[in-house]
Formats: sequence, structure tokens, C-alpha cells
Amino acid sequence: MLIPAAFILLGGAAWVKSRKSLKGKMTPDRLRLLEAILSSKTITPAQLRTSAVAWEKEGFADEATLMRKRADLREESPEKKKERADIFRKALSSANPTAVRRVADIFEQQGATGAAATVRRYAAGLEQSQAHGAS
Amino acid sequence: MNLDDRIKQAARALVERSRCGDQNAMAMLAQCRDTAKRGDGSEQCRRATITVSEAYRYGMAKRSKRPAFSGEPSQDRETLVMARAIQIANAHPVTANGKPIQAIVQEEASKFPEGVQRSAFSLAWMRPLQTWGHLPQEPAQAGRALGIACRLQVVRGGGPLSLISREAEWELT
Repeated sequence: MLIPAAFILLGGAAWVKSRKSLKGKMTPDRLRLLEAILSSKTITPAQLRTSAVAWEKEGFADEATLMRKRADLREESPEKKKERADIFRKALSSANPTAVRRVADIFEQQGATGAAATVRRYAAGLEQSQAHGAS
Repeated sequence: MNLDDRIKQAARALVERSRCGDQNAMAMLAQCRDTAKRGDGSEQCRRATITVSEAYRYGMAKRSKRPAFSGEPSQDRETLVMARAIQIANAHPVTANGKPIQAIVQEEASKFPEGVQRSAFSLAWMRPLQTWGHLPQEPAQAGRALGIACRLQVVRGGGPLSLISREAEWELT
């Protein structure tokens, strides 16, 4: 009777210790999960907020904030969404890489990381095309 | 300073270089991310995980958001394809009424010999957001560039954002 209890206690202690030692540490699994959450196109704002609570508990406050901002993005008014989409279109028409990167930074601050990534890719391509055109 | 601290310092330097547009730094961070994702328990993986974790934290602390490398192209090839696409999209119309002008597509495709090369061009043109690393690169890149150029023009004209980025569509509409 005492031996199984000792095993359970030891196992529990090891589990608690491992949980504590992993708190706030970005492991490969967590990185994969984070990328999946941030790039998911089927996740709902409610699911994002639930994930945010869990990540915050694990010591990832910044990531949790990002998830909450993405949830807020999805719940914006149609007018605000249209305004953002127009800014995105204007950025993809711009010939000024610095201004385009600034737009990317703003999107990033608002939690629109996918839009920011696209705009950054455009800025890098724009710089390259201008350098190629100038040479 | 122990090894882990030195790795963290190097990761922070990579983030700074990435933010200045150094594509080598971006590529190194992307490589570290890929190695870290393997999660095979090797020393290399451990170091890559420390690098990515620190780069992530540093990026967050500086911008309070995602790390710089997350949105930057990890390969020069991607930048070149986008650069070519921008040149095409800015030079002349490749779409009319929101659809690609087939004559231009045919003309571009005819630059490649029939068979694998032309198929690679067509496939990459139809799905330009994929990288198509296993296809012959010259026709694939040409196809992608034309495909992205078409999509850029459609998006600029008010077309759906998903043509250029599904994530952006999710976030902005």
C-alpha cells in the first residue's frame, strides 16, 4: 500500500517540478503551438481569449496580449475593418519601402501579424526591385 | 559569461541586424527556428531553441509584438520573386476586369520549352504563394512572379486580400 503511494507522490513531485521549470520557457512544442494559434484562420475570438489565459498562466504575457489583440481585430466594426484593408492595399501599391515598413509595424502592434508579414515581404521586394532598377 | 548567455547575446544581435534589413541575419534566425522546431534533443537543437526563444523575447520587448524574423522573408529567392512581381505589376497591366490577361500569360509561358519546364511555370503561376522548391527554379520563379503580379494588381484594385495573403484576409476583413 505504501509503495504505490510513494510512487504517486514521487511522480507528482517530479511533474510539479517539471511544470515549474518549464514556466516561461519557449520550448519547440510551444513554439509550434504558438505559430499554429497565430496563423490559424479557423480559430474564433473566444478560443483566442481562452488560449491567451492559458499562455498567460504559463508565463507568456506578451504572447497572451497578442492573442487578445487578434481576438479584438476579428471583432472590429466593418467600417474599421474596411479602413484597415484600404491601408493594406495602399501599402501594397506604395513605392516607399520605409513607409511600407512603418505600416507593417503598425499592423504588428495591432496584432495583425499576417498582414504585417505580407507588407514586410512587399517592402523587401520593393527595395530589391528599386536597387535592381537603379543598378 | 557562460555559453547560454553568449548564445542569447548573439540572438539579440541577430534580431537587431534583421531589423536593419540584413537578410543573412534573417536567414540565420529562420534556420535556428527550423532547427528548434525539430525538437530532437540534440545540443544543436538546444542552442537553436535558446536562440529562437531569446530572439522572440527580445523582439517582443522591443516592439511588444512578434519578432522581426517572423514576418521577414527567410530566403533571398522569395525577395527576388516579390521584386520581379512588383516590377511586372508596376510596369504594365497584366489583368483586366480582375482577371489575368491570358495572352500575356501564354507569352511568358512560351519562353519555356514544352514539358517539365512549362508545366512548372503554369503550376507556379496558378499557385504563386507556394514556394515550389522541388520544381525547376527558373520557370517556377517566373511563374510565381507573374502570378503574384496579377494578384497584386487585383488586390490593389479592390480585390479580395486572400489572393495575396489568407492571414491578412482573416485579420483585416
